[in-house]
Amino acid sequence: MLVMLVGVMQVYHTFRSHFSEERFLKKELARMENNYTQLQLQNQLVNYQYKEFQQNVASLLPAAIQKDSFSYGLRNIASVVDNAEPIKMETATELFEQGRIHFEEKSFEEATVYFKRISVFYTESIHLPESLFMLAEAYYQLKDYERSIDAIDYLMQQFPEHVLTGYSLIRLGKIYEIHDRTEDAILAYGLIRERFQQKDLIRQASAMLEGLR
Amino acid sequence: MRALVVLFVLLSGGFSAAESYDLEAIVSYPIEKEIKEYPADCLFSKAQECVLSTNFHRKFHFNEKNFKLSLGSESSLLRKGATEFHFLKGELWFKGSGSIYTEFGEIHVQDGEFYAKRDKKQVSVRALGGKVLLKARGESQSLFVPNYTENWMGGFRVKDGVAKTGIPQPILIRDHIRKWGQFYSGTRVEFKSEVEIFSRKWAERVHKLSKEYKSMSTRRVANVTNKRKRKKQAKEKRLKEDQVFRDMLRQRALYE
Repeated sequence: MLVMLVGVMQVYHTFRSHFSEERFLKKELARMENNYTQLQLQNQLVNYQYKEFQQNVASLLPAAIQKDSFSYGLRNIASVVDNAEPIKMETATELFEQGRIHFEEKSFEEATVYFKRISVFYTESIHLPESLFMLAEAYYQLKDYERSIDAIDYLMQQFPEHVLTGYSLIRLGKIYEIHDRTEDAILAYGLIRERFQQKDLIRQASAMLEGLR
Repeated sequence: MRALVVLFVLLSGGFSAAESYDLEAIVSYPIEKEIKEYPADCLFSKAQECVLSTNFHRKFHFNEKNFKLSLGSESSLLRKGATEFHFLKGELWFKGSGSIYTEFGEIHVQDGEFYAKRDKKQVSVRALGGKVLLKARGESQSLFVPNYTENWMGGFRVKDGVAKTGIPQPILIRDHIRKWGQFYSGTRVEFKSEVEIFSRKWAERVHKLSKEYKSMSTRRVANVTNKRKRKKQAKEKRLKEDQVFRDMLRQRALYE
């Protein structure tokens, strides 16, 4: 009886393990793990081949660029394969903001660097007249009158009707006054009253003229 | 002054490394029994290309005719043909004569030994014996790595037209002994005596290198100072000339 019972249990256990999903799932898991490992290694190989190719191209580029230095395509490839740090783009607006901050902090020396850069490299920027005006002001504050006159001169040539040109003429008159050239100062203030229509500007020029007389 | 302090620390660390380092704490990597292969079962087949990769904290030895190569923890190697090995990932230990390839360049060794580790940006090589050379991509000349020093090579810079390489620096000995132990396959007693010999030789090399670097840096500082001086003089001269012209122009514009 006992032997029969053990036999039945043995048969039951064999059937159970044979039809169990666990064994099937274990096999499936092992197969998937193997596939995953294979994919990982394949990925490593492809990645290495790509980098090797990238370095090959990079080592050939200097000679190619030397031959055709204006080729945008070559420069473009160079920027990709070189793995360089991202290029920091400089804009006139950023420069102007930096200059303005320094100007407001009364760091006129530093401010001139930014405004000067705009006046040289960003001549098409909308910030140019304002930059020139502030450049003239900064130089005036630093008592570098000659450079201040240069900036005003540039402003007058490029933007003769701009309101800031009017204000810079007031500054020019002031510089003339400092150098005891009253006649030239009167001419400058007179020019403002003739050429500009802004009331505040005219009022300021008139006040300066009154002061001189 | 700072260099001297660093040197002192390095030297004192080196002399005492063998004595003070707890060699019992160093764990050697067990041999990898289930190395990963791509394509599958390529290691002993005649496949042209075979990628081999080890698991975490395992090492695998290749015994070739001229060299013995040990692959470290979580490292990968691409075998092309019988003796061409490309180092893809992780770390390896090489003993004998031969070459190892990477995308940054080649590592050549003649009757010597080196340890190499790499990441995405560069491969670092520690020369431990013999003649170890780094041949960076696009460079015509190889870079010699003196024994007991470490150097690296990185990617090619299009802008400069040269590959990025470092200058040889003394091996950080504590880190190196730990690493050495992981790859070592002899007994602890043998390892301890080898570490002692290594530490002495290393200290000697560091002392020599420090003298060389000191004279090199003195020359460099002198060069830079001279250069700055010349630049300053040229600037002053230019400013003086500018001022003269400015005065002339101002005179003409305002007073004539």
